[in-house]
Amino acid sequence: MRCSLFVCLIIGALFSYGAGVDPSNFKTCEQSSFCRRSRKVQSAGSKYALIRGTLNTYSDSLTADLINKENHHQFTLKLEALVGNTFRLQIDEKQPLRPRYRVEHALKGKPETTRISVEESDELTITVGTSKAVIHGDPFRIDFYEHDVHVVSVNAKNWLYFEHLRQKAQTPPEPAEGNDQAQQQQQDQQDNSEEVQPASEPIDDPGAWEENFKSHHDSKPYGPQAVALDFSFPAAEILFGIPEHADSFQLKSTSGTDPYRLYNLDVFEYVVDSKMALYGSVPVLYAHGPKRTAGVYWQNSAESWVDIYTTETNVVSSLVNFVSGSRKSTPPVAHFISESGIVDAFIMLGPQPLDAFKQYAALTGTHELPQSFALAYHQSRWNYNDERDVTSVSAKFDEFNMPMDTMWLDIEYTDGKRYFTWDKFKFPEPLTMIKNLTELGRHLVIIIDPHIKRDNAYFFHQDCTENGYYVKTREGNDYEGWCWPGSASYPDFFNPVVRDYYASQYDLSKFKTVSKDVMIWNDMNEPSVFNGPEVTAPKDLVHYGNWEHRDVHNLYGHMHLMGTFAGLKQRDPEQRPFILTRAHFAGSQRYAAIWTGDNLADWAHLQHSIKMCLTEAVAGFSFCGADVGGFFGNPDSELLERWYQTGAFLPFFRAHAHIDTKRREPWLFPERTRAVIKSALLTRYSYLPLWYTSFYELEQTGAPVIRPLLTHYPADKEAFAIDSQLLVQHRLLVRPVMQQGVSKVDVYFPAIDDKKNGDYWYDVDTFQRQERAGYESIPVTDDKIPVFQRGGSIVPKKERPRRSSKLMLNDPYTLVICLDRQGKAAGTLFLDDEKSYAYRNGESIYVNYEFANNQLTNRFITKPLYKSDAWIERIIIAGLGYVPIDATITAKGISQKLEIEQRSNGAIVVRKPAVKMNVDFALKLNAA
Amino acid sequence: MFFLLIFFVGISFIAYQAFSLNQLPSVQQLRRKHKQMMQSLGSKQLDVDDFDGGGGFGPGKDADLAVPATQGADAIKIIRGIRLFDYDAYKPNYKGNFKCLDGSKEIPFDHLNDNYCDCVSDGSDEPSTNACSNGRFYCKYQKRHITGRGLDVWVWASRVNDHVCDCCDGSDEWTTNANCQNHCA
Repeated sequence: MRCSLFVCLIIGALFSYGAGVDPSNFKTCEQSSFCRRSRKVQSAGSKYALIRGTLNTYSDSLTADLINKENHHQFTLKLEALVGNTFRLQIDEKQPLRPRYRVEHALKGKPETTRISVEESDELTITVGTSKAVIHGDPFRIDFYEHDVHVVSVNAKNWLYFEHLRQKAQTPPEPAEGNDQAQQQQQDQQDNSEEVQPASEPIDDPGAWEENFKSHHDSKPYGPQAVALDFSFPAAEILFGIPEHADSFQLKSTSGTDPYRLYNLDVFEYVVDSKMALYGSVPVLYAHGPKRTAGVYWQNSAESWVDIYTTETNVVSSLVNFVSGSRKSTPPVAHFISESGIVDAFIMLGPQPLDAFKQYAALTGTHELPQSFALAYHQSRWNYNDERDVTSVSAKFDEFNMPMDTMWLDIEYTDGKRYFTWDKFKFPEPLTMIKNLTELGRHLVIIIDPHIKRDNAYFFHQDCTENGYYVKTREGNDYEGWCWPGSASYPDFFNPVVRDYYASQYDLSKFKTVSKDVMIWNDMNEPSVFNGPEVTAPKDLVHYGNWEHRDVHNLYGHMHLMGTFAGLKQRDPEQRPFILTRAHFAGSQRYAAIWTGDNLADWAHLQHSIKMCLTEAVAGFSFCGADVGGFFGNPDSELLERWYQTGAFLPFFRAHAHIDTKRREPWLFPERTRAVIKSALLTRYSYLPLWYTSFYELEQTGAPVIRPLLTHYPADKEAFAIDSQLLVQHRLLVRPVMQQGVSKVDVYFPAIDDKKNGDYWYDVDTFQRQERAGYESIPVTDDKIPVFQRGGSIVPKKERPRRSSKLMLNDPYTLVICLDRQGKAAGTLFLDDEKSYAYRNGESIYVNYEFANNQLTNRFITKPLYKSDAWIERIIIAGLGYVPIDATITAKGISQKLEIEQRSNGAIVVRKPAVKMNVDFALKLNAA
Repeated sequence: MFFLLIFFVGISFIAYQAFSLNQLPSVQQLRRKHKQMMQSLGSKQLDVDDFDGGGGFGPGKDADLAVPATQGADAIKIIRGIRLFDYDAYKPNYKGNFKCLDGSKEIPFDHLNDNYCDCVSDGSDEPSTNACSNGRFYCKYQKRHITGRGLDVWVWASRVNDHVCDCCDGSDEWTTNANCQNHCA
């Protein structure tokens, strides 16, 4: 009771702000000592140089020593060539006082290296295939070339800044409250006979050895240890990436503002158009120009800031360029600044956008093929109050004949926020409730957060206390914070033993009140600590391996996910786990889907759902969505309608709401709204085969499921920054309506060449064709958002509605064929049992359909070993230009005539080919 | 005593009237038809479970979707999933076609129940299958008064053969092995 009172107090207090987040609760760069210090370098520059004669070359890498010419501290540099046009640059101290943290578990495995050839002259030239790296010794700098085009430079600005570990100066800089600790620290280090380092500038900074923010003290026992490095992109015009921020897809210049911040934080009522840190941190950044795309993955899990310098194209600058005749101004620069760790940067050389995205996916992995229900519609709320509530919401979807796959339970299902328990009064028989859902093909997802209630009668707390599984304070005690359960501690998921213990809790022999079809939602895993600095854990906590929380903060949620994923896999090795997480780091996409956290029911947040998910998608997290309707606040019916229509075209599609909001299940709205929502849901379900195929191809190739326009239209400068539209693979172009009360929206159709030629695009509802590139005003109604299918693509659909996706497994397919200028089209379809890992043993059907010369044929990309009862129900062809009299399908040596029906705008339907999915066939249209 | 006599005569008259009403041919027909329908609905539906649902290559077998009710001479056939009221509409018209119930379209009679939705506007050409997104499936069990009055018991066509028993008699699951229990009573 005490805790819930506290929660109410917090919520009440925060709500009184009204206008969203209070930025003063979070640090600015100026308030963060290491950011301040590292950023200062931008004015004077640093002086690093290679030490001659220290070069060692190996078959796939080279090493050399690097010296800071001001304080003569030495570093080692390693440049490694990786398979797939990627280089890895690592810089660490040559002899650090103590080891510096190197990120673990983010990469999907050890990256495969490749052979290099080295040429030594004034510079060092390392050649790998078509790309090369040129290392300049003094001042130190590396230029990367792709096909002799200079695409990336490292340290071209001389902003490399590496604070070596040092002993605290004899005279404490501030006689502050951290004095005792400081003295003890010196005693600890007395034995250390390292030569005294020359005093250098960081020590001048009052925050170098201890730091205060608000009422929180950071003891900083190891002093200053920041690393920073700049990357220039001479072939690029825009930069994008480094989620998670509620900001535009294109990164904005940070000159005059704070840098973009990467520090996993639970931000209450976050605001949009902001560079503030949010729940996740994925330090990968891409630079794109008309001819080249490159990327940098800055692998560092400490708090990071990224300064962006781009010449923002505006009328004045383009005029200046025009007048001065210079086509090119200074190249865009990204300056990565991290609080600790080493320099560990992967330079991905593209050359095309999809290449760069795939290169990143090759490093950190992809989400594996989800079960079909995970791609269908999710119904959530904080909270569905009890068993009856869950059952009746599920029944209402049936009553209104709307499809729904998954019901979600937020924290209130637990017994006093003790995870792995149920509230016995509200949920006396969870297994019966779960069975009622699964019998309808539906699923249940429940929340399991990382904060553990400090209650001696709670088994999880007992085990963690007895075995020392919690994250420790500097003094070695279990850290106690405050979160939903009240006083709480946090398991140290970095310890493999703790992860195993946590994973084993999911075993059905232990967690008896769920079935193996119940999936998991990991929230609050930044970690969120209500009474901690910036609502998270203090940086001087100690983790497994004696690393400070400072070193690993952004990985905490990732480690939590690893435990959950292992737990679900052990629970049922046959079934693909589904996990939703809020905190994430590079590589977390291997385990979980993400959503954009606690957004607001307003139009700006609706717009940002697309922007944020596009950025997440290119950073590995294709499986992204936003709370439909907005978490905080009450959407009016128009906003809710538009949000459903938008959410239906983001990979993760879940409605969710705060406990203080009005109930907003679709049937609580007027008939009109209900109809719009139902139609949005049906649209989503009809495209499930496309989503499913896209996710299979994501796992196979690393190509994002949703993509910004520039992915496939890299030369169209107009398209670079467009983040109100998205592509689903290269098949659909979606421009949701995200403004109030509009009757038309401008849709940009990207150009494929300089002459403003574009692809054909067909309206998926009317088959009306757009033939020109450029902006086009498209009329919309309540029930319509502009969605176009690309001419040249084939999209598989299932047009029979069911109450849940699981029940659609054997339903027949519809193929929608939109022809390009040559009258051709192609597209893939993947199907399997939608649940197990059998597809990895080839039990699947992966087929490419091709239409050319009035004939549709299929080609199996892999042997079609999956036995499916599904068949092709109809084939829609748009852009044919004539109406065939009939069609002939030939399969297994038998031919049969098929009827043709007509649709709007000249589209035709081939009626009932009735061919099974694993059968080779040819279908010919017969002209009159 | 006189009054008692009048009362007695009155009763006899009413009884006679009631009896003769029962002899009226129209009522008798109604009864017989109702009895037949009830029998046919209650009978095991034959030969339909091998209807291949359009799957498999080749022309969908023109499976006998109509159900022979009783093997008697005056047996009637009722198509699975239609409303009894529409019984007559599910016969070929003079052109040998089926007309969608809303009159929107006329289709060849062999397109009826061939697991492909032709009457897109009302779903009426697929009363037994799940091909039409807005179609209805009328359960075999209909709780009816002898006069035919009562609310129709139906489920959305999307619930037909989806492995979930929706009709209380399980009649919506006729190709799946959903093992439905009859709990209509």
